[in-house]
Amino acid sequence: MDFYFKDPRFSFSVYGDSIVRIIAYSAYVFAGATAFVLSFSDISRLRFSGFLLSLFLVDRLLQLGRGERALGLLPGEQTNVARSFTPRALRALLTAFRKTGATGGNFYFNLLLELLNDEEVRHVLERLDANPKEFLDKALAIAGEAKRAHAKDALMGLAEDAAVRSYRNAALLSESYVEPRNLFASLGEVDDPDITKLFYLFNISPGDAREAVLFSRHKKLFSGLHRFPRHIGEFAHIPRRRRIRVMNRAWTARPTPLLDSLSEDLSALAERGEIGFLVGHEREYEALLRTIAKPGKPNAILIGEAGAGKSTIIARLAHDMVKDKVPKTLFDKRLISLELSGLLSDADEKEMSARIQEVAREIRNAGNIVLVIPDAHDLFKARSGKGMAPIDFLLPVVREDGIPVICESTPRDVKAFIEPRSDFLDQFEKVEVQEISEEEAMRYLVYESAIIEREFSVFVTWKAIRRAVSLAHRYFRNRPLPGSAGDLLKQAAASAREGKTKKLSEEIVVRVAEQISKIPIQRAEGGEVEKLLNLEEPNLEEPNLEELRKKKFIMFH
Amino acid sequence: MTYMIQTASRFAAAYVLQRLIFRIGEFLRRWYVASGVGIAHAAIRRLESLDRTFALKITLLHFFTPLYGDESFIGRIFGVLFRSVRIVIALALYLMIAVLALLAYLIWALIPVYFLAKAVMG
Repeated sequence: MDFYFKDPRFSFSVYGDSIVRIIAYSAYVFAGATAFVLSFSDISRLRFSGFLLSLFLVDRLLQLGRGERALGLLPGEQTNVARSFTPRALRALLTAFRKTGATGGNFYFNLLLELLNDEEVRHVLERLDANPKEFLDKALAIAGEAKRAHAKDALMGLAEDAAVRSYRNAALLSESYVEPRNLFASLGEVDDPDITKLFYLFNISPGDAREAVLFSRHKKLFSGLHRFPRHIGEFAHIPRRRRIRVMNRAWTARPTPLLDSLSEDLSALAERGEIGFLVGHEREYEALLRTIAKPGKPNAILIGEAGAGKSTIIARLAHDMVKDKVPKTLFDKRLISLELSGLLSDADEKEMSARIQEVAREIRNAGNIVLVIPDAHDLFKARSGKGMAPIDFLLPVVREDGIPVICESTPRDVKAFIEPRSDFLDQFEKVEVQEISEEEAMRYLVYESAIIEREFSVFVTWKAIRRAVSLAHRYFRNRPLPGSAGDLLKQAAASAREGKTKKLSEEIVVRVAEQISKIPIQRAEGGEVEKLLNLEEPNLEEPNLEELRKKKFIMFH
Repeated sequence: MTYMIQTASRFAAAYVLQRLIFRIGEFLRRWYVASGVGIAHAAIRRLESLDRTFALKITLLHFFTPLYGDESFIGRIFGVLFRSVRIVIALALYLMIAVLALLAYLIWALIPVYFLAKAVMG
């Protein structure tokens, strides 16, 4: 696809542009007044002319602030990206273009200064933990010192370059139109030493700018929700009404009273919008779906460490089943999670056997159950170490072709309890659930931070999220991402609230991580770096020798 | 200076005229095409939402399946009976929504035409 930028106003002189604006504004004022007067006329012809004109003006009003065409609606091959620019973004680009043409200087700086007038761009900067005023002051200072001035004939090329970059940024972030924030994010990517220096001074990478734009946009979307999610699972979808479907829509199922009393209906939870939010794990989810939708033995065992996301993947399946976004074989079925504690408690072997067999009978008769067995390894532990294990009674259900079964377990428990029972394991296809990546964890925390902000009344910056994820990934390995990072972020938010701080910055996250891990994590700065680098020979006179050694270890690992 | 302003004014007037024509075209496109698509989407959403209750296709597929797994004669008869009623209600509702959507679009499409006709012919 070929992108170009063409807008006739860029070829106008300042006079021409002013005249266009004067004519356009005057015409709208005149048309508005005419429509108003005509609409109240006693003469039918004039009144209806007024109505017609009003329709046109109301349509124009509704289109205020939008571009000519949404990003997805632009024609392919040869695309004029100018048509997707909002008037605010186009005005910023045009003003920077004119200013550079008239007074010289650096086009990108002029554009940046224009963008800093935009409230949303300032909000993005706050998310990046950069004070907009300090950023502006520094930008002005660097712009004053900057030697690099752009030639007039190169200006159009630069404007086009900035426009196409921002269009790509907007497309990447699934925006409807190119906004000033996309222009700002694209500035972080331009090859200009002065702009790079400015972003570097505020420790903002191009990736940070892009993610902060996404973060700030998400927050705007969240504020439009008619009921704010109480926990992260609810971000999947917020239902308008709560309707729980016990029987299937085909009217073929049978009631399952005992199973219902010994299980959790994940489909009902998904229907209520309480579960189903998933970030990452696409590969595992696809594998699970493929396995349980296939003919023959539709059984899968999810193997992953505690907190790796096994239950979240299953919750997503419940969400997709409720939304009918599943293959035909899973259509109109219920996802039921067996509560093993209830199934196995207060019963001797005989009672337990009868209970499991009754549950198995109900599942078989119902014909619309997809069974989930969390902590499946618990079924392999025989009562008092002898006799039959619960799995022996449930095995017939697992062996049946038409009943999809999903088990959850950890690698250690699979090895210890499940692998010795090849008659059970042969019925399943293994799906290994890996910890999500840092990028995915950050994306997850963007959502979770919306809830944290409400709960702790603090403003979470993008850098705090980024830092929480990297520190949790490095130092808190006892729990996988994103849970470990989420916990750290929550503790940091609580600490910020206790300290009466309104903004959750990365410094607070680092301080809290230090308190938890008892490791000095604080970034080595200034002369300390030199001290750390020269710490080959132990300087016994150094008062904080041990602490410096620890920091050096962290710096190089 | 005067020459510059005159030239700029000529360009500006041509540009404003071109924008006016473009805006009228855009107004018509939004009124007739985008609104039509919007009404169609709303109707489809409503139909999908209703089908989550009535499940027309799945009901047809299981038309002769016994009701709630009751394999007895009564279960089979009731299955056909209840499903027939369900299908009739579903079809009536679906048809009603489709007709309402079509009517809504027709009325919407006629509004500017009506205003124009009244403005021209009185």
